[in-house]
Amino acid sequence: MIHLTLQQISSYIDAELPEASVELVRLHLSACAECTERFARMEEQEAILARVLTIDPGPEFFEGLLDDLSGRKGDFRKRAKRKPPAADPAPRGERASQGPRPDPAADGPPRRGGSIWIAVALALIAASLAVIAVRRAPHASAPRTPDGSPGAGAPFAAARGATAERGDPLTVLESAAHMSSDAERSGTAPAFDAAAEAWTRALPSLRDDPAEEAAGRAELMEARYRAWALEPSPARRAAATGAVRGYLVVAPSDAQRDSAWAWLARLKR
Amino acid sequence: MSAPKSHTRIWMDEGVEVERVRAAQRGDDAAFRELARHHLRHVYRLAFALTRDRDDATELTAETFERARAGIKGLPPGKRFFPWLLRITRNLSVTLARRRAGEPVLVNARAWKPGDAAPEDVEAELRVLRALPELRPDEQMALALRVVERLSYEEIAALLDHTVAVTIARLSSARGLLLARDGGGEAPEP
Repeated sequence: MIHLTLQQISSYIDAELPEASVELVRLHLSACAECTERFARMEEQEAILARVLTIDPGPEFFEGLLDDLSGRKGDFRKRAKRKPPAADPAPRGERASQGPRPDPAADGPPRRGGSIWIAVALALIAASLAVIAVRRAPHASAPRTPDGSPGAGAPFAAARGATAERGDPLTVLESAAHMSSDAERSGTAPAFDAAAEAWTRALPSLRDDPAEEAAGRAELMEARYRAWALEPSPARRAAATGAVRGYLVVAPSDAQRDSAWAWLARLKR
Repeated sequence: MSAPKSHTRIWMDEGVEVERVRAAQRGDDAAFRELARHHLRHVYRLAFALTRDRDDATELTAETFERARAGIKGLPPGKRFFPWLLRITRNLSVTLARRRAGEPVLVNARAWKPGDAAPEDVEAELRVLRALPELRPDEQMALALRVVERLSYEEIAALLDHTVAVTIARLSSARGLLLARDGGGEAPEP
């Protein structure tokens, strides 16, 4: 018996065969166990591909990403510059523990005048202070053990009270901070999963500053790790391993890198 | 190549696109933002299918648009924006894949709760994920556009700037290799 070709089965799965060929393939499949099994396995494989290749983070994520793209052009940086002033002598990694930074909006004059800009600037200051406070947790000390007390409630609470212009990347950070706060309170793995997703969404807006990116990746790592520690699964182990690996690349000091390596070792056990 | 007639949902209206591209080529950032807004979701989803990692997909997407913004003056008149954009994504993904070569496969493509899937399903997913990097970049692109966006062969051919026959060959070759790696026989000839 002449069997169906890969191309015929592939096109049949995609419903891209001409009608006459479809009938021939159906006839063949009804009579050939070998081709039927191959077709069934390819269909199973399609279902797996659809699961592992498909993602849709939702419109909010894309709005944030779009803002980040605009930020790369410079507009966002002018409005809400998050880099520390050049005169700041602090080494990377210690910066976040030094308390609030100078007004990020004061680096340059606003491009438009009027009271709206003053209001926006105040909102950005409030949000920036909150975001800085949020980032104190991972950088003020080495990464914590899953059983240790994170003590991050106060900074997250500070973020909760902040306001920021809707659609600005700062709101993405706020959202991530809120999710982490909620996860701390609920102490459940799904809550930490959700926080990790939120920090993943926030990472693009932190890319301008290595210290900030390291802080964001530390948050992501912690959320992933704690989700795994609370309810271990292969997927959570893999996600946590990826997050720790991502943090290791940007970890600002040897001590923090060592702590992350310790987490990685636990994940490998 | 113009958009095929069978599907148009991922294509921007051609007249609008030409106008926005011209404006962006003159330095109008709002026009580029409109182009980005229309294509962002599709590029991100494709980037995820190519990288299987959320962070990498975000990085790849952002880098794609940054390169596109920087190079849009080089887009020839009459050339559609989306296929040109996808070519940038494809080339960047090849670079990224080289960087990621040898790293462990991550099964983080979906939210996963304990009890969601039987262990054999997890193993099957891992086998597919491990085999995917073996596909050639153009096979991965064709497979991603088919699986993720459910595009017709005609539309995939238009986006990847080749013929429908090439699309058929790439898809069947990709599926054949994945099947072979899953213990289903010989891998197809390259």
